[in-house]
Amino acid sequence: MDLTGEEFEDMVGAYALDACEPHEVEAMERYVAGHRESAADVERLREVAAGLGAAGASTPPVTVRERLLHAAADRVSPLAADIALQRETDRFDSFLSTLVERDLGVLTHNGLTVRELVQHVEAIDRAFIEAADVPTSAYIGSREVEVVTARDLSERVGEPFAETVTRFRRTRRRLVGLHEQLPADRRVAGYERDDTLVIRVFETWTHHDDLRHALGRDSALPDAEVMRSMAELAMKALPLALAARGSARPGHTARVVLEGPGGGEWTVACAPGESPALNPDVVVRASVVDWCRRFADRIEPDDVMARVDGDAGLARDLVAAANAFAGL
Amino acid sequence: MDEGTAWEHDVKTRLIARDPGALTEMYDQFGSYVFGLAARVIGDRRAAEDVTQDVFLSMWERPEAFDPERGRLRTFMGTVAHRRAIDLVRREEARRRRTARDAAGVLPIPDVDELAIAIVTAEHVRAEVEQLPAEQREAIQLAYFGGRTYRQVADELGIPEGTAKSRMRLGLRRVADALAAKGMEHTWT
Repeated sequence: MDLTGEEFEDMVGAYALDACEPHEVEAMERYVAGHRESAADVERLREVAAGLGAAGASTPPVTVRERLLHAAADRVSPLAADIALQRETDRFDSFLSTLVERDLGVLTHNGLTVRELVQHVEAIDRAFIEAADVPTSAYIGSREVEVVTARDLSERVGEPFAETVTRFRRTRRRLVGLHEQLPADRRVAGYERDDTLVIRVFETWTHHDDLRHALGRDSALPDAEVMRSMAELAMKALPLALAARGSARPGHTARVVLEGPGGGEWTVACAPGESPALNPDVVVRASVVDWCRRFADRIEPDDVMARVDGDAGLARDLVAAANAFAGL
Repeated sequence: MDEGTAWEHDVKTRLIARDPGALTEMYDQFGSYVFGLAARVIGDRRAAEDVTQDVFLSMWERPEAFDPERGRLRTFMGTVAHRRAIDLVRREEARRRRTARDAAGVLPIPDVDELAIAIVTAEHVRAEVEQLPAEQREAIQLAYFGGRTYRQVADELGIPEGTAKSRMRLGLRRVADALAAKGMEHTWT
């Protein structure tokens, strides 16, 4: 709704006190953006409101300052998709160089051996590169991944592992190179170019972790900036994930605060195509590592230690739906 | 540009450059204000700690949201803190907490150890609000500290919505005019 001057005047006191309904706030903000004098008027009344608030100043516990500075250090910017993928690739590659012959036949979480899982990562990279050559290429989802993997593994029985690693490196260079090669708005197998690369970052981390777990080695987390890149994608996918699970909530908004290195805060609409409202129905706080592991379907919803303010049912749906696109 | 405004420009520039010292300075300047306001609105010190952290982190991540040409940093921080706090109050969980707080009778203890001049002027704001006609004062306090919308204020007081809105507007304007008449407009922010 577009306000008249009279409607602005009617509402300005309530607006300065944050006492309007969300749609009225949006209308007031639009009005104020186009009327300089009105903006000054709002500022004058807000100063009074802020003065009311200041009368109750109260020193917070010292731990708040410590937590804040710690959290600020964790809040890094996401990397460009190709840099994030290269960085995670380097970490994975270093790990591959530590593998010895007896490691290669060990079974991993998803039923493939160590050797086969590396072949799988390369095969799916290649499927995306091939899809990049065809702008109208078909969507690659979890079913297509299974088909490509089964076909590729059957063709590569007995391949020396050194050759697998060499192929992986070559294919991965081409995949990272898509960032330079394709325009940003180009879709690759149904995904935006940069999303494709970050999906592969997720996949690289997740399978790296699967391999470490199978071999009894400790988990190793990606850099904070890489984690932030993955968290960005996980949050971007959330409205669609809810819809894919049949739990979209039109007209609802969630604020998700992910804590730890690479974390951040996102306000997301709970249905595709909607804009988030000013006032979230729920605030969910969780570890960024937990959320990304949930996105990759490596942990169950109950394993995500979330603190929830607001609509607890919506929070449950968000955590449950977070893995909707796992399996690439 | 006065000293305060120059500092605000400087802090914003340093936040954009990701200088943690700017965040520390801003927290030391406004931490008590943001926490006190959140604690009073929410009625729960633990939840107010989260809001305080969120308010400063949002400035850390999006310093460009503050426009020094449009107003003072303290007012901006107060607006963000208040909105976050009432968001929380308006959610069901917060209402439950608030009931528990009421039952326990625990209130945040005012502890004014920062920016003495700001607090003195804030006291003037409070004193001017005390001078308002009771119905205007009540509407403002219910909205600002109670986190009510004007519709809820109207319901609660049994008055038309238009009357609730006009009481808020007239009350705030009267206080702003009184402060301006004393030469105190903008001095506290």
